[in-house]
Amino acid sequence: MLEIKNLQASVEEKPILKGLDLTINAGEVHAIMGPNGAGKSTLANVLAGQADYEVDGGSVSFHGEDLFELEIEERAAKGLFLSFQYPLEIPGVATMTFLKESINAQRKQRGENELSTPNFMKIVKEKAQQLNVTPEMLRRPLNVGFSGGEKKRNEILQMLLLEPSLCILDETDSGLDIDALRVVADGVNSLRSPDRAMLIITHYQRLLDYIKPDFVHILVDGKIVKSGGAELAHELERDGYKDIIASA
Amino acid sequence: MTVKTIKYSTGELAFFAAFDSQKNSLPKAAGREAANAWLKANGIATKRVEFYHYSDLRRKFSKSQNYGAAETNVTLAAIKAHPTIAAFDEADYQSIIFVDGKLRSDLSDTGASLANNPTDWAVENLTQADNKNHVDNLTRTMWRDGICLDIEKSSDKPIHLIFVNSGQSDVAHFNRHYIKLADNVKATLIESHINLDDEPSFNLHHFNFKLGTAANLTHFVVNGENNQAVNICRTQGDYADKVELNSTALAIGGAWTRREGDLYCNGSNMDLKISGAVLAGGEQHIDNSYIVHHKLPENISFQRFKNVIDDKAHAIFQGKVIVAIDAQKTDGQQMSQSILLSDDASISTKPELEIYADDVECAHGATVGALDEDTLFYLRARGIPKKIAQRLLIHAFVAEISDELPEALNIAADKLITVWLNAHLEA
Amino acid sequence: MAAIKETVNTVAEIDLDNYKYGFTTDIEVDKAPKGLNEDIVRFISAKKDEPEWMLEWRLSAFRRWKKLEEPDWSSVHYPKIDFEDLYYYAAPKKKIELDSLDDLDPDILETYKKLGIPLKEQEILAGVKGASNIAVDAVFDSVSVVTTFKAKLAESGVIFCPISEAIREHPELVKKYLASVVPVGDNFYAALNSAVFTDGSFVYIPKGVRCPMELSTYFRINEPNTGQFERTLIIAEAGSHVSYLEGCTAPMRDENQLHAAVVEIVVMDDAEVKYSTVQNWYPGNSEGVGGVYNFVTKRADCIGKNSKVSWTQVETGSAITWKYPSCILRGDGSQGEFYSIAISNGYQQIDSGTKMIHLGKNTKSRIISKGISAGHSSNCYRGIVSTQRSATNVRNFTQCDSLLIGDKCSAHTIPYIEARNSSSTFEHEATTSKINDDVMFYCRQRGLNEEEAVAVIVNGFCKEVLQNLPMEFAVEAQKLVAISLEGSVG
Repeated sequence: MLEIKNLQASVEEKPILKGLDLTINAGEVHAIMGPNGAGKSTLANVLAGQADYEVDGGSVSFHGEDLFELEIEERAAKGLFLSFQYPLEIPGVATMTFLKESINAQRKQRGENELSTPNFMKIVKEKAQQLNVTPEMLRRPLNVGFSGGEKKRNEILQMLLLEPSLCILDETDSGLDIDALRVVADGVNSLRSPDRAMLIITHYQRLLDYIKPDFVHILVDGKIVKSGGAELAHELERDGYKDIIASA
Repeated sequence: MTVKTIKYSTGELAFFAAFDSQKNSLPKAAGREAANAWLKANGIATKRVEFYHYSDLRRKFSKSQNYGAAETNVTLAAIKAHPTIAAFDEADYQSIIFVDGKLRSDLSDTGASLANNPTDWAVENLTQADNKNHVDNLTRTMWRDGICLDIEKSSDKPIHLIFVNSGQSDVAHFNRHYIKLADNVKATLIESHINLDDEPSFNLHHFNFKLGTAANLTHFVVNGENNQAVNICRTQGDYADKVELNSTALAIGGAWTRREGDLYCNGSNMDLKISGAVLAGGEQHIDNSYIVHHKLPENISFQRFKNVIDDKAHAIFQGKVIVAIDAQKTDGQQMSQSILLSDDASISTKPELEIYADDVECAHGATVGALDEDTLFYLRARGIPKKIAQRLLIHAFVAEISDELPEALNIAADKLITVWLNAHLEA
Repeated sequence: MAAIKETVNTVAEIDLDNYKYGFTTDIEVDKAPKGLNEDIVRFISAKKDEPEWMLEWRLSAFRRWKKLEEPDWSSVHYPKIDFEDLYYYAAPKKKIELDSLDDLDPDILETYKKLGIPLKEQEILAGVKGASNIAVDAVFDSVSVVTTFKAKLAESGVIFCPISEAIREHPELVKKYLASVVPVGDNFYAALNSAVFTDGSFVYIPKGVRCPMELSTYFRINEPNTGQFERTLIIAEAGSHVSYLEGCTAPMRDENQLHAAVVEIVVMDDAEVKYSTVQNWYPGNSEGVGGVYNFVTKRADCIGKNSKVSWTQVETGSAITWKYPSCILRGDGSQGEFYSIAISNGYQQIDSGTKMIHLGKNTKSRIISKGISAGHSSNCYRGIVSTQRSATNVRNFTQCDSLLIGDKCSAHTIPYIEARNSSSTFEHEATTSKINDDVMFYCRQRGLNEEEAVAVIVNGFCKEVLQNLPMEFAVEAQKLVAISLEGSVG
C-alpha cells in the first residue's frame, strides 16, 4: 500500500529525514518510535504534504501512485489520513459542518454521491457516541476551546467517519489521560481491518499497549535503525533509546 | 482638480505678515520661502484636514499673535525648582535648556544651536521642499532656533532637553531640532516643557530623528506646562535596521497640546514602542496622533496610550499603521484605553489600519469607560476611602505605561503622576 | 506557504466575467432624455402622476443639490461622474396593472425567475414546491413592476407598496416622514436622490402589529446608462415588528451604472425593524471595467423608547460601494445593531461601515464587521460611535476583522470613537490577518480542495454575521460568499 524508498526531507534547509525506507502492506499496523528530533513528525507531515517540509530525494508510492504527484486533498481522498499532533482550531466553523464538508469533498473527488443530511447525521451520531463526543461538542466551532483530549478524540472521530485506507497517528497519545487513551485506542482498534493499514508515531510505548503493532521501527536521526515485532517497544521501554542506538 | 481660492483667517494673515516683516532677521536658511508658499497655497490645517480632525491648528493662530523675538532673564535655580524638572535627579542628566524658543548655552551643559552651528544633515533637510505636513512647513517657515545633536557614542547619562517659557506673554516660538544616533548607539533623551509663570505661551517644535542601524533610543517626554500653554510638537522619525525605540510621553499639564509624528520604518527587524499617558483636567485639550509607516518587512510597532480625563478636558488618540505592500510579516498593534472621571470629559479615538500586505498581524483595541465600580467597591469595603481608592486605581492604570521606562525615569514619572493626583484628587 | 501562494494565484486569475446575474433583458422602454435639469425633474414627477407638493419638494431638492459639492473624502477612486450623461428615468413600456401579475410583461417575469425571486403569489398560495412565503416588491430600472401579497398584508393593516403609490394614496404619512431621517441636504447623493428618485418601497406597520411575513424588495438595473435612484421609507409604529429584505442585481455592462438610493427607517416605542441586504450589483469584469457605483444613504431613527434597529448586510457586488447604514439612537433604551460582511475581489472598492449616534440614555449598539479582500480590491471599514453628554449609560461593542487573500489587495479600518460622559462604556477591537497556512493544510488533509477550504474558513470568519440573516437569505448568502471568492475557492 505504502512504499517509502530512501526518503530525504528537510525543514528550512535543515535535513531531517536522511534516507528512510519503509513498506506498509494492507492490514498491517506499524509503529515508529524514536527520540525527540529524530524526524517522526516530519515523516507524517511529508506524507500528508505539508508545504513547510521539502522533499529532497527518494520516492513514496501510495496504492501504486507517486504520492508526491498528488495534491494534499487528493492524498486525503485516496485514503491517507493524518491525525494531527496539534489539531488546528477553525473559529466559526461548527465541527458538524466541517465533518460534512470533508466527507462530501472526498466522496465528490472519488466520484461518489454526496451523503444526504439525515444519513450523515445518523453515521456521525453513532461514531460520536463510540468516542464519547457529545452533540454539544459537535455544535461547537472546530477544536475551538476544546481540551487536549477532546481535540484528539475529534481527530479519531474524523478518522472513523472518513474511513481512510492508511491512518497515520502523529503522537496521538500525547496529552491524554488513561481513560481518554483507552477511548481513543478502542476507536482506532475498531478500524483495524485486512484492507486498512496504520502508521503509529509515538515517543512512548504506552499507546502500543492498547493498539498492538505488528511491526515496530526505531527512527534515529532521520533513518530507521532497527525494526522488529511488538516486543521491540518493550525492549525500548526497558533499555531506553541509548542502548538501542548503541546496539544498532 | 479645481483650484480653490483660500479665504485666509485673520490669524493666518498675521502669520504671513509676520514672516514678511521678520524674514531678514531670522537665521539664514534655505526652504523658508518654499514652506511659506506651501502654507499660502494650503492654509494652516483646519479640522477638514483629516490628520488634524480633532485639533484645528488654524484656530490656534490668532490676529493678536505676537511673533517678536524674545530675550528673557531667568535663573537656573528657578528652572530646576519647577516640579517637572525637580522630579529628575540633576546629577543624572546633562541639560540643554531653551528659554522662550532660544537655546541658552549659558544655562546648558551641552548642545549646538541650529541657528549658529547647523549640522550637514540639518542643512540638507532644511532645503528639502516637498514637505506636505502643516507643522513641518510652519516651523520651516518661521524657525528661530533648534538643537543639532549627533550622538556618536552610547551614554548612560540622559540628555535632558528643557523648554522653558518665561513671561514672554503669548509670543509664538518656532523650533526645529535635528537628533541623530550613529549605528549601535544607545542613548536616552528626556524632554520637558514648562512655564515659570501663569502667562500664556505658544510653541511649535519639529523634531527630526535619524536612528542608525541597531540604535537604541529611550525618549521620555513630559508636558508640565501651565493651563494657558499651547504646545505643538511633531516628530519625524527615520529608522534603520534593528532600531529599538521606546518613546513615552506623559502629559500632566498644558492647555492645548498636540503631539504628532510620522515614523518611517526604513529598515527591518526593528521594535518601536510609542506610548503615552495623559492625565488631564480643567479644559485641557491633549492630542496624540501618530502614523507608523511600515515600509519594509518584519518590523514591530506598538502604539499604546492611556488617558485619564477629568472636568471638561478632551483627550484624543489618533493612531495609524500603514503597512506597505513590501512590509510582509509586520506586527502592528495599537491600544487606546481611557477613563472618564467626569460627565463633561470627553475622549476621541481613531485607531486606524491601512494595510496593503497580506502576511501581517495587525490589531487595534480601544476601550472607554469609568473607573471599575466593582473594584472601587471592593477597595472601599476593605476600608479605603473613595478618593484614595480612585487614586490607587488611576495610578495603577497609567503606571502600566511608565513601568516600561528605565528605572530612573520611571521613578521620575511616578513622582509626576503623584503631583497630578495631588492637585486633582486630594485625599 | 505553497498552498497560500496557489490560492493567491488562483484568485488573481479569477474569472469575474462569469457574473451569474449578468444577463440583460430586451424589453421596450420608455426613457426620459439624458441629462439632469428642472425639466427632467418635472418629467419624472409627471410620469409618476405626483401631486403638486411632491413636485415642489423635488425641485427644491434639485436646487439644493446644485449647490452641493461631490464628496471626495472616502478612500475610493473613480473617474468623475458626468451627471449630464445619464438617463434618470427608464420604465418598461407596457402598461402595468400593479395588482395583476398576469399583465406583467412576460420578459420581466422571466428576468425575476432567472434571479430566483418569487413573484407569482398564486404559486405560493397553491403550495408550489420551493415557493417561499415572502411578500416581494420588484423594482425594474426606475419603476416598481409588481408587489405581491398586498391583499394579505392589508388584512393586518400593513401597507407595503411602491413609494410612488404611497405618495398618491398615503400623502399624510409620506409628507410627515419623507426626509425626516435623511434630510434633503444631508449629502450630495441624498439630495440627488430626493430630486430624481423614481421608485422604491414604502412600508407602514401599524401599532402593535407583527408583520405576518418577511417583506422584500428586489432591485434590478437593466437599461444601460441609467441611474437607479430608489427611495425606501419604513415606518414602524409603537410595538410593531418587521423584517425587511433587500436584494440587488444588474446586468454586465462595460460602462458604469450609478445607483444612489436613500433608505429611511422610523422606529417608534418598543418597535423593532430588521433590515437585511444582499447586495450583488455587477462588480465589473476582471480588468475593472464596468460595474455599478453604489452610493447609498441608509439611516434609521430610533425615535421611540426601547426601539430597535438591526442592519445586516452582505456586500459582494458593485464596482464601488459607499454606504454607512446608521442608527440615530434617540429614544431612551433604544438599540442599534450593524452586522456586515463585505467581500471585495477583482478591482472592487468598498468603503462601508456604520454610524451609531447615541443621543438617548441607556442606549446600546453593537457592530460586527467582517471584511474580506482579494484580487486587486480595496476594502475599508469606516465607522463612528459617538455619545452626547446627556446620553448616560451608553454601551457599545465593536469588532472589525479583516482578512486578506493575496498581496495585491488592501484592507483599511477607520473607526471614530467619541465619548462624552463617564457612565458610558465603549469597547472596540479590530484585527487584520491572512488565512492561516496551517489551517489551510488541515482542511486539505481532510480532503477539501483549496476553494472549498477557503470557503469554509471564510464562512467561519463571517459566522457571527451570517447567523443574523433571515433563514432564507442565510443559505443564499453563504453560497454568495463562496461564489464571490471563486478562484480562491476552486
